[in-house]
Amino acid sequence: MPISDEQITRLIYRSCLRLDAEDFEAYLELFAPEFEYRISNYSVEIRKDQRWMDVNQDEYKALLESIPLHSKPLGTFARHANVYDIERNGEDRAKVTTFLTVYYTTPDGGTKVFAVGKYFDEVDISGDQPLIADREVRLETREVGIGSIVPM
Amino acid sequence: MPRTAEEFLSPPSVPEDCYVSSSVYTDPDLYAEEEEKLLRRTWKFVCHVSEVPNIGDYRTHDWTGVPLVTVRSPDKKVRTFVNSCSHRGSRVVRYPAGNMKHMTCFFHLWEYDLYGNCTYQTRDEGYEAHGPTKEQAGLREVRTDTFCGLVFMNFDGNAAPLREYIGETATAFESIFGENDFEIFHLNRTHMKGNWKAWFLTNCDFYHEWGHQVNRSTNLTSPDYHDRPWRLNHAQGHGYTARKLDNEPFVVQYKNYKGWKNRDGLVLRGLQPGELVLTDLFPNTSVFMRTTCVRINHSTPYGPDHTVMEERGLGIKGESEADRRQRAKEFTQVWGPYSRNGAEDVAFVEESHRCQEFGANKYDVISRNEPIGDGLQRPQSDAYVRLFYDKWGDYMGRPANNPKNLMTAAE
Repeated sequence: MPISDEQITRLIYRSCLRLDAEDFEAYLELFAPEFEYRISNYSVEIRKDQRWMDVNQDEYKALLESIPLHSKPLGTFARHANVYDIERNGEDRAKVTTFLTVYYTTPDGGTKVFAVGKYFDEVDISGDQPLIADREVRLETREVGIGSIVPM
Repeated sequence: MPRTAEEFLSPPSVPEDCYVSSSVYTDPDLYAEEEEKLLRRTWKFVCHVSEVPNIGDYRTHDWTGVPLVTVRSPDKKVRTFVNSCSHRGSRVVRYPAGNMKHMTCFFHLWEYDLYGNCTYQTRDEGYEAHGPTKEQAGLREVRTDTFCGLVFMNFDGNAAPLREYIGETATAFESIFGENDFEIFHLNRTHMKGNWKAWFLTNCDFYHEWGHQVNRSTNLTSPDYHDRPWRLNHAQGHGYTARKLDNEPFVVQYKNYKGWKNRDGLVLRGLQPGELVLTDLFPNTSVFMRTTCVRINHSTPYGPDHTVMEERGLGIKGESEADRRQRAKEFTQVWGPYSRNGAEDVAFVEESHRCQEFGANKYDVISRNEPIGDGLQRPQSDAYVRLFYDKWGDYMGRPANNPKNLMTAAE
């Protein structure tokens, strides 16, 4: 039975929920083998595209496992996503464009917008369940304050 | 044993050059004085030449609150001007970067060429009676010079030339920059609630590497970590750490961090695989060379408690897309807003500031002393931080341990 748009949409939203919960193991289950993950933007200052994170499957897994060893921001991130478009490319792949807002809540409860951007995902729809085969987090926001080791 | 209120308010029991009053990070009057006596009299890093490669390419920036525009003029020289129209003071160039044929103020359309000459006054007959003429209305040019592809500016026309200012510290990076044709590939800016000196001195403080998981696993595990001496330039206030005393490189063990490999490929000319070189230029520019990429770190203060940190990554001009990608990947492992170290460094500065701001911390202790022989100090010594504040005191005419000449509780 072909993967539906609803299943694809739910995949994207689950990726946000699991990352919000910092349940990295469950989050990685949403990705296909050999996936790549990037955080990118266009720098107005240097007039070039730039990548602020660029990792393959193994590197991403290692990164997520290492997070508890680091001094990460003390608050929490919450991702608000809206799937704008699902474009099927044959029976195996779908390109998904999702608008993303990331909020940061400090430990004492103040919330502010951390970053705005889009997910550009390539989703593997060849199996029983859709899986993210490639994710580019394309940021509009280039000033992210303290920054974050936790991916977007 | 906890300290009493009196002990807390008294200077630490260390030599006078081994502590700093927290007011140097928080006091608005001291900051205003710093702008006048120090920041406007020293060379400020502007950008890398690859940000303005063509005639008309420009970058806007600020220094001591003054808006500036740095542009490559038709004679190919890079110049800096105060970015304020001679007429009513509006910023003339308002975008961060781009290319322009001339500079036109959007308010009344006065125009300037790329040498800063005023070339057009709208309805100029209105100025015939009282002036100013176009000849009298050029932009204010600011002294600008380039060394190793790094563009610097200085408001002080009487300051020593840039090359002389950098002095012997050039040894650390002159050959590496000479052997590699660098090009910018990364830039990020971070507004932080903290003081510009605190940010710069975090770059100069190897002792803070204990706070980074990356550095704990890749640097501090190396048996020869402590064998690199600080090379201090007492005349100008700069410092660098590079080779060990036996002239062998200090090699970072990247493979010790989970998911990383040692940096054996794409090694910059002049460096060895894994080699790390760090240069700190007074008052606030750091140049890091981490085997495959260069990081230039600089900050722009907007007051004692507001600093904009700017971080640049350099790779090799004309390299393949795959090489550039790998280089950028290795850069952002350690540096940048989503790196392993970036958020930690900003947090160090902001958390310290939070305590200094309202007096919860009265003094910074900078007393670490780790001699390595021949009068040299090991990397985790505070020798450079002490030199920085010695130089700061020279410019300010005040000691950093008691800059407001306050009576201590003990007195």
